[in-house]
Amino acid sequence: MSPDFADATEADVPDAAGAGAASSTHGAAATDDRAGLREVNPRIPLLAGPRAMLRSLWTHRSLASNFIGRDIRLKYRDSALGYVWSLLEPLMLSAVYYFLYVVLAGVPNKRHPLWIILGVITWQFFAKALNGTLTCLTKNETMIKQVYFPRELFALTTVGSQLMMAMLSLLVAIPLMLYFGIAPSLWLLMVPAALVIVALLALGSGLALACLNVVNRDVEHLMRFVTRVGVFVSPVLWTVEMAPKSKTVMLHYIMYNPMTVPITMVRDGIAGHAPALGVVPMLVSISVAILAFLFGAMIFKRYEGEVVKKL
Amino acid sequence: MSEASPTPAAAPGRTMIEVRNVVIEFPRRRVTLGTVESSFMKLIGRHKTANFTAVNDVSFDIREGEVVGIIGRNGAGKSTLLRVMAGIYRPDRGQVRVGGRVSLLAGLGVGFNVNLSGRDNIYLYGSILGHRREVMDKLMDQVIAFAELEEFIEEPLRTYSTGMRARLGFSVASAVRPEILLIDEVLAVGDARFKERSTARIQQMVKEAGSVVVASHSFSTLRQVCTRLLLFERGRLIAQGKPHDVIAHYMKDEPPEVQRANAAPP
Repeated sequence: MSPDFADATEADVPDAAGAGAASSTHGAAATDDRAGLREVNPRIPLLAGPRAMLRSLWTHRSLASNFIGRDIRLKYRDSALGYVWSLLEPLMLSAVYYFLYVVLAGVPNKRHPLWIILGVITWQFFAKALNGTLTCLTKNETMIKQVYFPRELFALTTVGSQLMMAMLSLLVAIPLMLYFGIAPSLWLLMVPAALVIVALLALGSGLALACLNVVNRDVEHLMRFVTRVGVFVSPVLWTVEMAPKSKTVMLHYIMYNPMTVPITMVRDGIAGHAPALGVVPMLVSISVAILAFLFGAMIFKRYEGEVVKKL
Repeated sequence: MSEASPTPAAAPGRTMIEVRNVVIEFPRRRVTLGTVESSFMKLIGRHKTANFTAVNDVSFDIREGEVVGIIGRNGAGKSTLLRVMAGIYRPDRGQVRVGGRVSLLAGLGVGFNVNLSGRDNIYLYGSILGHRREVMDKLMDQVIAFAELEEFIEEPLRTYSTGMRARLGFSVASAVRPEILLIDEVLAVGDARFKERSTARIQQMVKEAGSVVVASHSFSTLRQVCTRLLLFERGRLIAQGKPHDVIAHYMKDEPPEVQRANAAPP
């Protein structure tokens, strides 16, 4: 057998040390020829979940890139304008926002449509990544029952393709920056950083809920509602600066929203100035996102093996 | 014939599959107006519901060079057991250990997308089966040739007939030779000509694989290819041994017309 075929073999062994330990428990009965056996789909200790997940992403990178490529190709299939729609739609929407907010409501900031567009793209990325992750087991039932590969690949690739599409959509900022005369700066690097924070938040909370959703699908209905309400509760259509300065309590609650910092980071990055909220909230936000991912990964790897039988 | 003893003495080669005390229980699904909280309690196992035991304390070994058939009535646990060996279901108790790359031939073409071209679907399905892109690059021409789809390979899959899709699925699934081959039920697909070629290819795979496990109802095939049969009844391994003996054991509870239809050729 050629070493080329090692892909799946490697992938099914989350921990070589663990497999070794398992074989020793059979020491009494085992003869020498059993030394090379590895356990199929072994249980993974709770704390080893995140590491196992990153490892399976690496071992199954061909699968991951095929899944992401499929999603992106399917999004623009059979359409003459294809990717242009990803730019055209937000551009046309910003004209509508300009009329609504600047002309009708009299928002003094002429750039407000740009801030809304950035807010909407960032929020949609979060909502789609979260809903895609938490339905990753229920949506792929047939595949899960016919073939084995680590199931987190469904979640990781959904978030991956949504991330790609969000970045492609954010290119709409270029014509708007030209229009508003904003010069690009190094602060632009905050934009991809913010998207990574959003990805980790969505992935973490989605993974934590994915197993629960198999048992009780009310979860996905509830979360679809939550992501819809979130548009208004988070600084998507408004900016943090618009919060009344007299009501500091309100500002306090806004900061508890984990999406406040990443959305503001995207806006600050495009605007080309230092983070308006300060460095501390940024560091807190990054830590929260990483913790969310670690928590979600542990929950998912712990329960995924049990819930697939309920599919 | 031995009654469910783990290792038959005559088996050649090293152990490739070791199944030990495997139990698989399926929860009986009942979704009522249970709150999210109560489902969480079920999830963490505080809330016991009546389970259906699909595989009940099963142990056996399969050695290199063996072709083992699994027989039993519908619902005896044949497919579930194959899925456990492939890693799809994790045993509730016991464990399965294997000594090589496992491949389950079932649900051909799972993950195919009708809006992608035949070629893209080959890459996609190949990666679902665990093959790297470089491997698929090398196999591409051979896969297309075996499926006889050279003219259509850049067309989207939605323009393919059912038979063409089945041919493509089989061609990809059978392109890589595994060390442990698991086959679930009938695999011959497509028209008569392709059926013949796919049957020949399965026989070739069986020959080249280290070990083969096949679940089937086709006793004539099992008699031909298997070195040993395992008989399952309601999740339990109740008998194993030479194909002729195990089939006879299974048949003695069957009505006479079934016995006659499946009688061994003289």
